[in-house]
Amino acid sequence: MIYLPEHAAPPSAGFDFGLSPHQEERATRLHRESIVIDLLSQHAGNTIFDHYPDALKQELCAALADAKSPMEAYLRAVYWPYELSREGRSDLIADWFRQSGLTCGTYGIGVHDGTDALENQWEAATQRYADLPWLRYVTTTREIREAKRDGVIAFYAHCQPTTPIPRDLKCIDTAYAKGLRSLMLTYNSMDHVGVGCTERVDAGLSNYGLDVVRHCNSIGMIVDVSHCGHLTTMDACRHSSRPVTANHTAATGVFGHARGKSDEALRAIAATGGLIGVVAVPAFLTDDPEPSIEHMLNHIDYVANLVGWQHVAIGTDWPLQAPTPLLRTLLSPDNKALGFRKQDRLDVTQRLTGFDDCRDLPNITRGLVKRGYADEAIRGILGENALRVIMGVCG
Amino acid sequence: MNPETSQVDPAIAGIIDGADVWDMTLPWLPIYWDMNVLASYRAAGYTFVSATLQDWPPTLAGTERCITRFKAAAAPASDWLMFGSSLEQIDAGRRQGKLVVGLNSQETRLIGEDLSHIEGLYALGVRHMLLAYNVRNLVADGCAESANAGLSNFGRQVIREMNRVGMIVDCAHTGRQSSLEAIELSTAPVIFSHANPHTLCDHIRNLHDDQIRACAKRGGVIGVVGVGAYLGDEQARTETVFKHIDYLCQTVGPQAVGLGTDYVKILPASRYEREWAAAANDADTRSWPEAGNAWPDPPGKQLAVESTRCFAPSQLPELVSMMHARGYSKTNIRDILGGNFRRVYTVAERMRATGESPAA
Repeated sequence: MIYLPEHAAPPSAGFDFGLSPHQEERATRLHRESIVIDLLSQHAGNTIFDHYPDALKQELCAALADAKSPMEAYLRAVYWPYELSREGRSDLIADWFRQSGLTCGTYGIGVHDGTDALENQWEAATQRYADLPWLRYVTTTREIREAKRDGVIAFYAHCQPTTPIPRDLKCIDTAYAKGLRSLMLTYNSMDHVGVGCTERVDAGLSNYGLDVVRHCNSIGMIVDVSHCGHLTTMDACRHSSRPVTANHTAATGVFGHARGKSDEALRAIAATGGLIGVVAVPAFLTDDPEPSIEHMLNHIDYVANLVGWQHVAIGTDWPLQAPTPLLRTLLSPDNKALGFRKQDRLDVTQRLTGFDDCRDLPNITRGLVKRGYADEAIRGILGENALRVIMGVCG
Repeated sequence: MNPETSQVDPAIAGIIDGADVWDMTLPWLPIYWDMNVLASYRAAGYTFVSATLQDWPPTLAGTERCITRFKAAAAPASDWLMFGSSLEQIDAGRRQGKLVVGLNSQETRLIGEDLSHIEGLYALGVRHMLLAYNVRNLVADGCAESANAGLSNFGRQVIREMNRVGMIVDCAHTGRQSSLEAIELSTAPVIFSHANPHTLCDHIRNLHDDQIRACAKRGGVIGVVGVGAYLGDEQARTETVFKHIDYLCQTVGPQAVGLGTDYVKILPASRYEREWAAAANDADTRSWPEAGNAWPDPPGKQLAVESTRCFAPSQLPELVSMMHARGYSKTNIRDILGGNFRRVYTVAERMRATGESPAA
């Protein structure tokens, strides 16, 4: 079975940008022809669960109720659509990806010492779907282009260290061998590597953090600073000899939020030759009670004007692929392990109008057309900029 | 009267014999598991030694194993040696003429992200805990980190829980900003169990005057270290230890000064790894110093720990004699020898018992 991108549905009619028929045609063509990379994809998004028949929904509920922890339930939810595909019971998620026009999304590989049961579970789950005919785990730009050519969805591995990177560089090598190519230095809190963005204090990298950056540079692992605090972000840019990314963030020049980056940080990241991936997470983009994809595009515009479109990419990170009650538990400010606070206003029920799930990726292209970007810039933001960085660091 | 103090001026011996003599840090490597070393503390007149009995990097299980194993090894010496964590036990030991061994932890990372382990460590007998050891952890920055971060959000929870439990916050090896924030936040006095003034010796382990002043102002105590590298004296002469004590007394007064001599035997660096691993009875030998440059030397002029001597327990009478000769009162000398740290223990025990902060 071959899934050709040409089968992709036309751009969603769900959001009215007021495009002319000619502009719609141009957006459709650009989206179809471009390499489309989401640097922090959250699979299909949580609306997918509404589209399964009731019997399957009940099965999912039972599987989640049976989980030992919210994180384990989350893992089950994320991989549930893949499991159904593997069992030949539903290819809905493959169908949604096809409709999205996505060339390459991301999956997680943890950096750990092998003793963490949950990390091992994630890895086992990831491996379980490696031979699905419609997806392909990739590590190089060549493989991403081949996936586009072959009509399969590519997945590129990124690590968000909600459990801090162990104090042993060999763990990074182990993760690299498993396919990891992008490593975020910290999550939201301070750890022995650096300081996260929701901490009350700000500071640069630790001595070990510097070793981590140098080691990533030497083995060809992208250094990512998405959740890092300001000084840790600046330090990483100062010390990295290769391009640095913030693959899912926003611009505080548009809207002040701990998860966004200041102009100074955005300039520093761009100066490494790196990338700023803009999120579709409403709370990070705006406090407008009716957030829409226009807010995401405002951030894209801002970063492009500040540092050039060559440094802009997409890293949606939203909506997460799990039922809402579970997400509410996971991302609650009471879950101190994740480090999101009440003032970070993370609302799992909120979505951008015009970006409900992965099938709305074409809306980004349509929005870029509406805002007057040239074809080259649109192709860059959708994927070619990311390919340049991946090529430069990983090959 | 014991042989060490009998050779000195009876007036000096009298001061020591009438005092609580506390050494707030003895990292108890298996190579020290020689009762003669502890006997030398007792012979010199020490009444209490706070030992670090843990694996490295420390784990809860390794700490428990270390304590259990050492208790077994020390059992034959029970006629002159005992374990004691509470003041009641420490006082009972002194009345019986025994050297009392208490416990500390030189890291917080063994609690992971679970505050309840602080109560668990207290139950084991651990009474003071370093927030960080040289390198950054989830709680605080270490003194070897040039980035000098403050306390993390989690670190602030740790301090509150330590206050509640009655575990003394110890900022030795902790970064400058983190230690200042810990002192400000803690409702109980904060100690530096083993650190020297930076003004006298430019070393990452030593304290700047703002740390010294903040600590003293809130009723805390600084234990002067006897390691040559932190004294700035390869020979670890008594005169140099006195200079460090005197600097602290001149800066913040004798109520904030104590002893925390740290190592009494220095090993070649290559042996620490093996010794700490052996301490945990752990076949899995981990690196020490671990990745992360646990002992960087930015000024390039620090003496290497393993190339220097350490202040020995037998130097204590000479130290007391020196303080006496320089006009330190008997009361002040006794406070420095142990009374000051004892005061901090008293406050911590009262706070645990009553749930109240110390009177301002």
